[in-house]
Amino acid sequence: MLEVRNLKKYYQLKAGIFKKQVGFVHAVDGISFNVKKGETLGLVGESGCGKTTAGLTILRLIEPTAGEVFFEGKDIFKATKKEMRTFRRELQIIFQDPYSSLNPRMTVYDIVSEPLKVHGLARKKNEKTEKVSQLIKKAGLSPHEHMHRYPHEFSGGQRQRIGIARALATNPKLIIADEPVSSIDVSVRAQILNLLQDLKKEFRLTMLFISHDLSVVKHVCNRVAVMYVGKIVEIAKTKDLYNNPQHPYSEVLLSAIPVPNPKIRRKRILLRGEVPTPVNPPLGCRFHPRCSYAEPACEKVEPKLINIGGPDEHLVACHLRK
Amino acid sequence: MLSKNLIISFVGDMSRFWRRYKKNRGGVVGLLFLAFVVILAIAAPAISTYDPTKTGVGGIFAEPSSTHLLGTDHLGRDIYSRLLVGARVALLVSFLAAGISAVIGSVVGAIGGYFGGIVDHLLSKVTEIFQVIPMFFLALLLLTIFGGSQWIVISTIGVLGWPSIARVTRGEFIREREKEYVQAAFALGASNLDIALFEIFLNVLPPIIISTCFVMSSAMLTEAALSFLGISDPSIPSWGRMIGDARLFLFRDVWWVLLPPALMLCITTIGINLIGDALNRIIR
Ligand SMILES: Nc1ncnc2c1ncn2[C@@H]1O[C@H](COP(=O)(O)OP(=O)(O)O)[C@@H](O)[C@H]1O
Ligand SMILES: [Mg+2]
Repeated sequence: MLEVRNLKKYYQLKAGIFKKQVGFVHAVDGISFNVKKGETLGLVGESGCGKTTAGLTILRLIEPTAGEVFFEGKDIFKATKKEMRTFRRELQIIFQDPYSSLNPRMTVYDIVSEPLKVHGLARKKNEKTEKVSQLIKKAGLSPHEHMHRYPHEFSGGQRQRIGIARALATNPKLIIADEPVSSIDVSVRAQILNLLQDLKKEFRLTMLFISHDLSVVKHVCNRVAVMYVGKIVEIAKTKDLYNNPQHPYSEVLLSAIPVPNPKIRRKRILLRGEVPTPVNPPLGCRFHPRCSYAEPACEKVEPKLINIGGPDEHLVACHLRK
Repeated sequence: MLSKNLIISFVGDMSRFWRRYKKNRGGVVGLLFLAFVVILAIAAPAISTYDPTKTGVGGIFAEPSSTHLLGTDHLGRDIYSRLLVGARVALLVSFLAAGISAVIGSVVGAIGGYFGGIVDHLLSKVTEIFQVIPMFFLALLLLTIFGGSQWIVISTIGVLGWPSIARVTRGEFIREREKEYVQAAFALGASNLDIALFEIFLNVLPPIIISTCFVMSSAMLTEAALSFLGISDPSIPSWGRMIGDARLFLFRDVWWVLLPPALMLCITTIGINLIGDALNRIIR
């Protein structure tokens, strides 16, 4: 349904008083994956590895450096203005920060009705009001009480519900959820995740679920793609990844998840060194300076993403798995 | 029921705003000054005692008395009545001129700040040029060419006063443009016009209003200065013209010709500036 091919986004790095360009931030550096109809694909990795950039570039909210993105077979980056309107209706995004992503001067009604207005989905006023009420209710807020309030009157969790109602207004086919719970209070995270799960079923959504938290991804996603410094290092079914991680970096990430049952003790792997900057990423495998299994080849040759799982597709980019 | 909620929320916003505003002493004084002048202007027909343009309603340079509250001028016109109508002129001219400046300035600033790049570069250059040319002399020139009817005075002052508003608007648009809610609007498919008009503009309105306040008080002074020099329509009683007329007779001891219009001009412009300052404090 969504196919991403060799997507790249380099930000220009400028410095000095004259804003001279001094290099590039290789935020997303050639990633490929697909999201199948009806599934939730997780995109995980540490903060700064390029997840948000990937999401925004896929939706063409920032211009890509290279690559292609197909939605239902059509290339988003080559779309005309008219085709783009259709994409804007069928693809939606839920932002990480429910504070900055809602216009402070618009009421909940204005915010949720905007997509209806933009796409001409409710012509008459009472039709629009009816639809906005429905959406607000679906997102778990009360139309009567909340419709004409401003974002600053709500808590983080409630704001994220407003963002969800807005994303659903156009009846989209695919939603990119960029860390939808990471900036809201821990106590309400589960509620928001459950809401997303319910709405996903009800609206038959396909989802790209971005997160840095593997314990969240485990409950929400069918498959997971692991990102490290602008590259995807492993893609597998959630169960396979959690039980049998193939990339050394995935192994490290998984070892950091707290285990609820204290009897099972997992060995937590500590990483040496620091996350490399995406300005000058390491040659060869980007993980090699920190990898405890690194071989000489890892420093020179960049590993390709290959399938080692047969029909169940378990892709990994590591010289040690062949 | 829904519109009731809307009204409640609006009233709530306003009362919160007023609670903060009234803590600013300068702002309250400014509001009293301006309210005083506005009330005089509105009540002018009811409380004026003579036709303000009619000559010889009293003697020449009659001293203030019960028949002529503020005396008369060199043509025997009633100063008190002229002062009241002058309030109307000052407010009307400066309000309309500032309105014109606000429209031009916010459109130019919004386009430059929103689109950036070469468009912004060009518009910024134009704004700069307008800012460095000596406005007052240009206004003099234009009015000498086109004549000094009140509408031409208003449009000239308006067309020359927009650069400061454009600069403020541009800066605000550049800042807002980067915010995530704008990205969210793009994701929904909103057009540039929708985003600039219905999303960003709402957020940058307060600073635009504030800079328009200052433009309004300087428009009032410009109008006074032009009238002082005798450029504008002589049949309209403007404070500037009254001061200009008085200037010629300063050797005689006729303080009542000069002082009242000068005082009114000060009160009004200071009042508007104080309000602008107070609003500025509140939104920062
Ligand atoms: N607008 C930008 N200009 C320059 N660099 C950016 C910009 N946005 C993000 N980056 C950089 O790109 C990298 C990836 O950022 P991001 O996509 O936000 O990562 P994530 O969402 O995984 O935390 C980071 O190093 C970040 O500093
Ligand atoms: Mg992010």
